[in-house]
Amino acid sequence: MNIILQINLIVGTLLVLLFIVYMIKSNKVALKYSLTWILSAFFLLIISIFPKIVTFFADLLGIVSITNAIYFIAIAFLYIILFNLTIAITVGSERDRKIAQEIAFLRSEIEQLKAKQQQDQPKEDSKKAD
Amino acid sequence: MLLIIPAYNEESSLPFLIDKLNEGFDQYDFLIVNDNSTDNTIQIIQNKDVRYLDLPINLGIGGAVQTGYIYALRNGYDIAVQVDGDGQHNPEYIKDMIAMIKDGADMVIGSRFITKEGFQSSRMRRLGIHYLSFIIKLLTGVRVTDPTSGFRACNRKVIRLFSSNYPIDYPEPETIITVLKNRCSIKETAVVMNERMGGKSSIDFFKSIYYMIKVSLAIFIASASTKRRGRRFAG
Repeated sequence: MNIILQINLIVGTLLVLLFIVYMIKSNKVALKYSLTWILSAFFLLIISIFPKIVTFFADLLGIVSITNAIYFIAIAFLYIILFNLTIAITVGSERDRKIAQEIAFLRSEIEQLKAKQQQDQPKEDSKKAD
Repeated sequence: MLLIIPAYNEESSLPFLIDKLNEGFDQYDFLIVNDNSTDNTIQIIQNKDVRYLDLPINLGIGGAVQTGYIYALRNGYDIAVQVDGDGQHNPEYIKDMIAMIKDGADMVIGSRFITKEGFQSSRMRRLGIHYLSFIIKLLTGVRVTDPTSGFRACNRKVIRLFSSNYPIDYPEPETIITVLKNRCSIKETAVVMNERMGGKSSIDFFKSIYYMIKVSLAIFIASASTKRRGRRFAG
């Protein structure tokens, strides 16, 4: 790997890592969902410091070109991140549904209580008058 | 005995159904679940002074119906009957369905394809329904002639099952598998359905391909995951 590319990669990945940490610190991204991002950025950092790792992986997987190996690794990470997001959406919409159903129940209970209160009100007034 | 009536934009048909139920079928409690309709459905329900639940967001037919089942469970109903809000289902048949539940069936489906009278749906849709019926028979050995019918009665056991586990969209065929996999029995009774009075079918032509693929997949997955669903039901 070219030394200029290597330096660029290291600097770039460090910036990305700093950005993710900043986002987590300012509560804009939940740590839970950024873990895959941090891991992939970290992995990229290691690769850019020790590019031999990619050659090793490429040989292991039978990939001839190192560039292709990098693409493959990147896509694999994106798959993991995307699937995690799909899980997060599923969990979130399941919670939405439960909360919406409970709101419907609470709304109807409030209406019933209001109606009951209106019925009881005149009685209490007349008691006071007595 | 609770009737669950899911309603999404049914302002044109719902008043007729409510009047019909109030006049001839006052022995049944009924609950309308408004699935955050964008028309005047909620005003109509409130003016009629009936039991209702008002969902704050649109959950889709499955979410609305499940809300009704949860209501039935929490309020101690032994039998719940699902009736569409669009006027397709005739309340006259509810009596027969309840009788079959009392005779021991866990779920009873009102089928329009036993006597083949009344509204039979379009040819394309019937073809899809026959296909679903075929794969359900293939996977469970049970013949259900009208798996997409949303006219169904359930006992307490199935009410509990549906309260904890109900598919979100196009739920009818999938729930048949869920019910059978939980060792509950399904029976069908002949009903005559009307053409919908108002509102739109939840499945339009362009969605039908997506519908068939999604429902087939759901049926296969549901029939494969016996243990998981069984455990969920127990817990």
